[in-house]
Amino acid sequence: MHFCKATFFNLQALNKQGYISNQNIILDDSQLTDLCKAGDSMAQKALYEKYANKMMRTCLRYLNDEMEAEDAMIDGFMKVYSKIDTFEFRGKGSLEGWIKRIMVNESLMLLRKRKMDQVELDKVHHLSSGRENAESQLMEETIVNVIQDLPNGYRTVFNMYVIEGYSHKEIGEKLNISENTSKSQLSKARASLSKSLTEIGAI
Amino acid sequence: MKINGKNKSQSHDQLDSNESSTDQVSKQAVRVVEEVPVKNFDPLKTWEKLSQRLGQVDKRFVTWGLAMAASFSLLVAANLSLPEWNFIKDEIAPSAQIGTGEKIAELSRTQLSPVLISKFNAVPVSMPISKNQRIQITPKLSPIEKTVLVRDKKEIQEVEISPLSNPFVSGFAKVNFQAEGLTPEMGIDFKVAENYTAKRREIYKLGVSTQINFTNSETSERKIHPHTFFNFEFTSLNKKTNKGWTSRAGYLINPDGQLFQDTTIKVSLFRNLGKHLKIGPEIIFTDNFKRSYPSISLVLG
Repeated sequence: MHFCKATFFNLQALNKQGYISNQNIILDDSQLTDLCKAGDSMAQKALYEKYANKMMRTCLRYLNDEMEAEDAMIDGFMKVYSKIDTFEFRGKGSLEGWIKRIMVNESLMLLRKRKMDQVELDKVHHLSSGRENAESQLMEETIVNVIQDLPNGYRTVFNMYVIEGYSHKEIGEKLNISENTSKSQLSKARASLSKSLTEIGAI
Repeated sequence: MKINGKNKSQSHDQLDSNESSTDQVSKQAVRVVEEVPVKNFDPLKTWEKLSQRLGQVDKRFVTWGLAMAASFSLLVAANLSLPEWNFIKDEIAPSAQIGTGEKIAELSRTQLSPVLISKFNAVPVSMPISKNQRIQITPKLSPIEKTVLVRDKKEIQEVEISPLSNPFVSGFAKVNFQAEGLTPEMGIDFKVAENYTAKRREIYKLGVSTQINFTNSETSERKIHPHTFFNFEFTSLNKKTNKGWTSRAGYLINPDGQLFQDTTIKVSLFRNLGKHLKIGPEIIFTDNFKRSYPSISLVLG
């Protein structure tokens, strides 16, 4: 039993490195890219397993709703597989960066859709109340939750500027807002976040 | 003043350090948390959903192809009957001879219907036919056959070869009145087939069109979204009045992911008010038929 558990965890660790289970090989990003370009389904799965958790976290940071984050991630991976021919591997981290950008775009698209449906307030309220009940979590996780609990506009701009590294110009183009609006949203987000982080003793 | 200045710069410094520490703490937290498995997230279940979607992509294209092929076949089966030239060319030997020199031609003729006989006798094989010419059938018949023909006169139809009146390429301009406002559209069509029945003219066209949608951003800026559709059009017109119906189906080639995403299909039915004017309803189905945008369209062209 102990052996099985250990093997399972080893496999999980291997999957995060691009492990193809039926061939007992570990592939790097470059090889995964080439195989995915060739339409190899095992490589597609390996790519998914390697980045699924990270991308789910990315989508969650923007959408603050697990169901929607999962939808955005699935749409994102669909785009990754269909557009991988256009991707050029430029060293370590380039594939992850490219996939992350796709996920951010998909999340923004869902945010726009949600704005049209106007159901956000109920969901956010529901989520934040659920989070308060969580007993044990890392300080980092608490910080991320504080970011996720920011109002929609603040959260999006903060995530894009600080975490993803977009410029205000890029944010303006993507969100259909002016650069000044982006700057002002970021400033308000920082102020709100700073207050919350001080309250929880993170800074 | 200096004290105030110092205070100001100190507060600025404090603000900057707060900004940087907030950013750094946030970045660090995100980096750490990205490696922590998400609670209530089962990657395997999500992979199943994803792999299902991957399989559906191919199916969508196949289904679309089949639907187009089926509708085209139905249209063809229901309406299209190609001009029958064979009866002009195939001439039955008017007087087949047998070895003894006895004529049996008259006997065989009487077994055919008078209408057919009239057609066979009227048109010589090598008769030149111009596009604008109408063939007049003047049967050479015996007195008995003529009597029968007079009785069945109403059944005799004229063989008509109409000219290809429209050009091969045609353009159109269209305005859609939607709930969101006006959306202009321009397109070009190529005639692929034309068919004539006794009363109607039927035209089949393939083409492309670009529809321009406008959206307002949060800063009240107008954004333009061009959408290109690949269209199949079927028109059925009354030959005399030039009035009739046009149905068109379009497939969106470039979904922008904002207004239209995934499989987007447009279907329209127009009433031809005149030679160059049509009006009718149009519906755009998008997001794999989950959403629809109805509109009323006015077409010029």
